[in-house]
Amino acid sequence: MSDFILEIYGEEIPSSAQSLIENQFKRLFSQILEDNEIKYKDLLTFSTSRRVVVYVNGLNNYINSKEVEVRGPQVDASQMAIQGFLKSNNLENINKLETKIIKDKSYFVLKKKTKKQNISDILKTETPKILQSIKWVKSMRWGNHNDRWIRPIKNILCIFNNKLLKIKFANLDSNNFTFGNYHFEEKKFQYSNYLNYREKLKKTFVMLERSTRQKHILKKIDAFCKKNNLKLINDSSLLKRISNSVEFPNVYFGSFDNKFFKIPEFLLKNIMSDKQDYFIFKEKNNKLTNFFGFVSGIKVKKHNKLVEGNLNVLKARFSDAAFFINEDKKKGLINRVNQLKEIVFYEQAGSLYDRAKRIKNVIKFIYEKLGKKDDQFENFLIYANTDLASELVKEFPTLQGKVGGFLANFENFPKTVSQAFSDQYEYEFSKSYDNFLTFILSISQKFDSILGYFVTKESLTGAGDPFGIRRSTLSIIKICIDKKINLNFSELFDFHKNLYLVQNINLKIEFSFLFDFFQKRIVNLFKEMGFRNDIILASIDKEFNPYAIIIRAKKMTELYNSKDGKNFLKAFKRLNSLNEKVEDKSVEVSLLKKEEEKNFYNLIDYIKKNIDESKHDFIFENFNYLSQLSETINNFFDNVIVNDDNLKIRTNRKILINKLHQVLNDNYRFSLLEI
Amino acid sequence: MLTFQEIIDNLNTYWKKKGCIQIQSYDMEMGAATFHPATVLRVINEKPWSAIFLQPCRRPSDGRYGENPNRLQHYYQLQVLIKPSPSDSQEMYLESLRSINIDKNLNDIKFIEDDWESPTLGATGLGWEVQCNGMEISQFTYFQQIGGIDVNPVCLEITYGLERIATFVQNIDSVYKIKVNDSGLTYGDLYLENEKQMSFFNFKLASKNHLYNSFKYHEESAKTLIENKLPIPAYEQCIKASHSFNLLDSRGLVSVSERQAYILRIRSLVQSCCKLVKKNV
Repeated sequence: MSDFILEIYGEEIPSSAQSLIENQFKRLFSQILEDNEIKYKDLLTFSTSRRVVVYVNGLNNYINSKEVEVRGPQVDASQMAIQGFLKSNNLENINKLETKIIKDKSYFVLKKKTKKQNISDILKTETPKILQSIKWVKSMRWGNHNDRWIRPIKNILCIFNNKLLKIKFANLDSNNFTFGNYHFEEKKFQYSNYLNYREKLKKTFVMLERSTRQKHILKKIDAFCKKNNLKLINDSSLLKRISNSVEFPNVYFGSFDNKFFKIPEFLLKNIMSDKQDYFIFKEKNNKLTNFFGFVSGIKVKKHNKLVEGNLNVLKARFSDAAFFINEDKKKGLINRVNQLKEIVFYEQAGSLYDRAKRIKNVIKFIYEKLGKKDDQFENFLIYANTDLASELVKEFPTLQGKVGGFLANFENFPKTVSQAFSDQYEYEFSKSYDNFLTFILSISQKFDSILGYFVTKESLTGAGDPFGIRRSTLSIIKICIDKKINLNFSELFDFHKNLYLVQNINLKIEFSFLFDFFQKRIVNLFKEMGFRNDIILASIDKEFNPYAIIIRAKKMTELYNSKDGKNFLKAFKRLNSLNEKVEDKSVEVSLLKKEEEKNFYNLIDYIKKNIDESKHDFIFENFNYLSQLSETINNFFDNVIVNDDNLKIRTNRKILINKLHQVLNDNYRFSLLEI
Repeated sequence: MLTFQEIIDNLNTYWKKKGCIQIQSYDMEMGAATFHPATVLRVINEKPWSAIFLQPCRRPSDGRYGENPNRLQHYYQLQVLIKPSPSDSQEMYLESLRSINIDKNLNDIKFIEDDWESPTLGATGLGWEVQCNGMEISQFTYFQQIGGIDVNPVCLEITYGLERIATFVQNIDSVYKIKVNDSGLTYGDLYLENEKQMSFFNFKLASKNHLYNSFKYHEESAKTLIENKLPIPAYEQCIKASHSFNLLDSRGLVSVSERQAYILRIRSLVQSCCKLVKKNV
């Protein structure tokens, strides 16, 4: 049996791109093999910081010839089509073609034997095509050719059956050699066979498998934890990132001066994990410790210099943070709020102080709408975004909110308030998170950002989301749904828009514009959640209440899938197809002759009354009523002729149909469902 | 031990031997060496280009009144440009580090993913932030676009953060202790007072009204110059507008969302300049 290996070796490949390329290698190579009916045993992929590898074994050397049938044009097709088919198969006339009936139509077919093909030839042709077709999130060109890859490539190893397979990509010819870890002299070695390749990689300090690198790191960390009685603060994305950043991980440890514990933990953690990519540890009582671990590509006996260097960087970053905290504590949130007046929110959308005032009022409005009280913290709300004027947020913009929460806590604001400040920018919240003020603050400030954006702009076009408007919209919808917040956005919009106008800010958009914008987001979100498109559209109400929308979508799905529901929708379809535009007149009861139409008439008032009482929930809450409803509708259509010869009766019946259609469709929009 | 001057000399010598022409600093305030017209206006055409230059940079909001050991509002970048990017770019860079006594076998040199972009210049590049034992010492970028225009052939840009490198090479923990030459003169002797005074200006005293007006003035001038098909002076106005914006920012007068709007305004002007330059080639 033969095997195939392709190794692309080059400059540092970002961590996030490594899984992406491995997945595409798996998909594209298996596709090529399957399309050509090539059998294989394993298809493996690997990646490190410097190389991506695909390996296939259990391959034959060639595909045997076999008889295949090529379908041509129909027998009565145009001469041009037939000539084209002949030409593409190197035939002069139709003598060698047979005819065959396929699905009642007569086709020309050509039976021919395929040539015996070398699998190496197929791989030689297809591999460069695969390399060109990789879809990157970001890719680059280098030098002066136009092929793209994630970072410049230095060598291509391409081997079939232990022999060089010549391909060309990015101005490079493939080779039968590769290189070891470049932190360990980057030793060049020849490829002889796969086992030998793996052996040589090991010897030249390359751990090809990610899991091996991760295990190696965790083993070192475990030993360190045991020795010092510590626990690693788990962060699987950090471990993945770190293990992807090397070919051979060497783990080193250091510790910082305890004096830095005057800096709040969220900041220490942010600096060490997010900014410096260090592993961090806690004591048994969950307190953060001053130890940190880091991974390096190089192995040195005297690691003092490495640790010292990293420690110096940490010290500088901590000193910077400490400097800002002191400045911020000295000034405090309350004294800083006036600074917001100087900061422009959006051009022509006032200052951040104007924004703070609007958000405060919107929170009050929402609380009132939901029948809740907010007296205890009303006075603190104006400071919700004051941290944007702080030194810390200027330096660590991603910590906006967290800093506000910290400073609020320092100034003894109620815990509910400081927590809400801290978490307001979160995209979504866990099930157990239950600070209601956080949800309302989060919705209010995000909604204000969306409106603020549209003060000077009339649309949001193009890819990406530079102002985070799309993300904010989705977040608002998610919070309302997850936390069961029964909020009507058309009302909120009217109130909020007025706040802008009172501040002399010319917000021109109308709710209909925002409705379309919100609708697009909710449709996509619900599709991801598995709802049918027609059900989503039928569930969206004019007032745009995301919580009500999801309840309706769920009920509508239930109705759609139930037996009674299906029968009812069939009956509704009859109603819908016979519904016409009519004069806006009442039904004349005296003209109702047959029992079936009287029953039909009675439905209208009955449903109307119930809907008024139950706020649209009537049908959804009373599925058992559906069979009665369907029966009455069907009986009417089965037994009453709408097009009566008498014009008055005819018109009256049309009005009757229209009235029932109206009451059902205005409230439930069944006509949007695909029945 | 290498002095600050020697570090600059050695890197200059190294890259000049590699064929880079040494050009001089630009006489305007700019946030990064990339703003130098020798970068922006040279990388967009197809002609080969290899250059090295030292550029004083100003980032007003990075000032710390001289109190932070490695944050400065005024500092020096040494920038190397090579177009098309050579196949041994990384090796050349590592070799250049050896010329200033940084050995890759004894120090942890890491290439950390950094999809560099300058939104103001409409420039993007892929490459890395280079760290030495955890400290960022260089930016290593393959330019892909500038002024929104594809850079073809691709240009390599290496930016050395000289003060950081000097603290590392001299094994000291503050930029102010850097020995500038053998006389014992330190970086602090030269620039500490400057940092203190300029921080007051940047953070507290730069006139708000003047800054708003100057931004508008430079923006308008750039527009007029672009209409007159004079991309070089127009681009200078973009550099000036960008500095006014940086000062507005350090005065804390720009919100996160408004920042984006300012940046986009400068960017569209830079884009027009680049288009004009490209057309004239």
